[in-house]
Amino acid sequence: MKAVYPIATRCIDCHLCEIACIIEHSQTKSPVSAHFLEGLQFNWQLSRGYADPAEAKAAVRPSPLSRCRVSANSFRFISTMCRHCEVAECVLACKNGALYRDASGRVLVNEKKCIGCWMCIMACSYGAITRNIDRQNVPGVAGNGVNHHCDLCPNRRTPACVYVCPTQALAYEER
Amino acid sequence: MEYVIVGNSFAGMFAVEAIRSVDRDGRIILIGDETERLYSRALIHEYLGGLIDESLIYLRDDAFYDRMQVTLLAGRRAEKLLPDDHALVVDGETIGYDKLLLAVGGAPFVPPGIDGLEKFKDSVFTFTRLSDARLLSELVKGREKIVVLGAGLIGMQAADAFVHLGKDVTVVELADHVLPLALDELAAQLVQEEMELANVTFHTSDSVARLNGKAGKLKSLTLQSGKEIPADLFVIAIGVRPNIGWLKDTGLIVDRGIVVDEHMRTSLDDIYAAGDCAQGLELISGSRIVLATIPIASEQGMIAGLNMAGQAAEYQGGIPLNALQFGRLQIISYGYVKERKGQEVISVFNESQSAYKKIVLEDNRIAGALFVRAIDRAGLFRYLIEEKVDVSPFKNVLLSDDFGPAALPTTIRDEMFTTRRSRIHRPALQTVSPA
Repeated sequence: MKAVYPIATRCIDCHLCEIACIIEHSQTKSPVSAHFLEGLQFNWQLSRGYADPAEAKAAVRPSPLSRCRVSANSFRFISTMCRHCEVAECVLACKNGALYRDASGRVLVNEKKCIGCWMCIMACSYGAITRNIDRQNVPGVAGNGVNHHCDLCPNRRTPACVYVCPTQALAYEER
Repeated sequence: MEYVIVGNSFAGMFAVEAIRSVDRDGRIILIGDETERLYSRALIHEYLGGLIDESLIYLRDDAFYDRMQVTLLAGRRAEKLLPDDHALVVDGETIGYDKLLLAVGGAPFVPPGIDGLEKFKDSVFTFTRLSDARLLSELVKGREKIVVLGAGLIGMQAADAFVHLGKDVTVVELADHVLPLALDELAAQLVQEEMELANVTFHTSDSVARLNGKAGKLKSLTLQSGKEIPADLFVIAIGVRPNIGWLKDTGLIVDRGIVVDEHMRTSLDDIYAAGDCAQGLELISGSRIVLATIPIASEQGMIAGLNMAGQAAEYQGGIPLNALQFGRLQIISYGYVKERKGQEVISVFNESQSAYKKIVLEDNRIAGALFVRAIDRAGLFRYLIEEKVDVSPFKNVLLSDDFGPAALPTTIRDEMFTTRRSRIHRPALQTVSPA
């Protein structure tokens, strides 16, 4: 099965992969309306200092909802995302079976079922899962949200991050 | 091939899926002593507290057993194991097996020496099953003062459920702080304060000595310290022990749980064990211990199933891991977070955010990691612990807000992100979950 693999030596920390991901998963599919009409946010600096994304959002400083994430350290950069592991640690840890593998081999989350217990965040050795607090199935729990991770862009032939990367630092292939 | 699995929860479920990924023809019999179909034992507290809809607690859909061609014997209890005959006695009926998986989990431990447990038995409960949750949700309507014995994960979650039901809750714990196995003193203090905001009362370094009341009605409890506290419902949640009493005198080697090797095999031929009843390899200590958590049970069940079906899959070992939340405090912990002599600690505490990160190091390898509220990317630490990575080259950035894959040495970063990793030799089929 094809998945997205980073080529770290080519990454220049431009964050276009994150922006493309957010736009691809938005409703309006355009950067300007995604930001102004849907309220989607692209800049990680805005929510810095907030440990809880729900509190960041309440302070009108929401974190970006990208499914890939650029990591930077001392001029070394890399964008990482879910690898749709053959044996998925998240699926083995999920408290109620909301995480599953579909017929194509992708590891996906049933967003209506996820209770936001974050066992998957604990379990994913690649740090590929984030908290989407724009959806909650357990409103009685503070900061509740659902699992958020790469879904390999089901409506595209090539994932948006791979397509947009200006240095071809992301590869979509079988390994 | 006759596969028999005793235990209708996580380990048994993943074993079924693993067997079917390799063998669509063998017969599978799944025996469970509960009548409900596959549900998540971890969610019975949320269910009791009215926080989640019942539909969210079921692990698979109604058609799961049919789809997997499993003969389900629900509400039936396995009473005796006859290893020489390759058979099990289930409610008087003898069932033969070619391969047997014991995924029988744990049973709640009731401490001896509490005076009055029998006299007030209508007010004393353990809380590990969905049937307990249903019973308690009816019973609790007429009760106000709930006392929970045990501030481990089950006790604290039970207390939380009763808080959501608007009850007056007190928790009594033997250790000197709550969640003594999962948290350190600082994190435990944060959790206790959070629960105290919801009016929960705590008595730590204490225990319950006696139940008091009149005419079978519970009125109060006397603690070991001498204090008397009002109570009309008493929930015992001091721990769960592997359900292995019924396996005595079978020749099965047991310690705290059923001892298993890297193929989840027990000491008896064609018998495997997985989950909360099994004692498998723990990577940090290098010894075999019972790790009663969902990811371990699921993985062990999957590996057992593959081996039963003839695949040589190996269990690499596990570590203690927990993800929990009380009030606003989301917490993830790995390994052993209370430092011992000779271990190094690095930590950062942002008091205004109640955000706490702590790493315990031994010889530059992570032996424990604890995250309170700052849980983003915590899973990277699972990799570092399980792969026994020497973190000295990047120790100074481990706790930074920006810690991520870019901070890892190139060889490790590439090992993690450029290969198609599989934790066992052959992948198991994981089911399509209908929405």
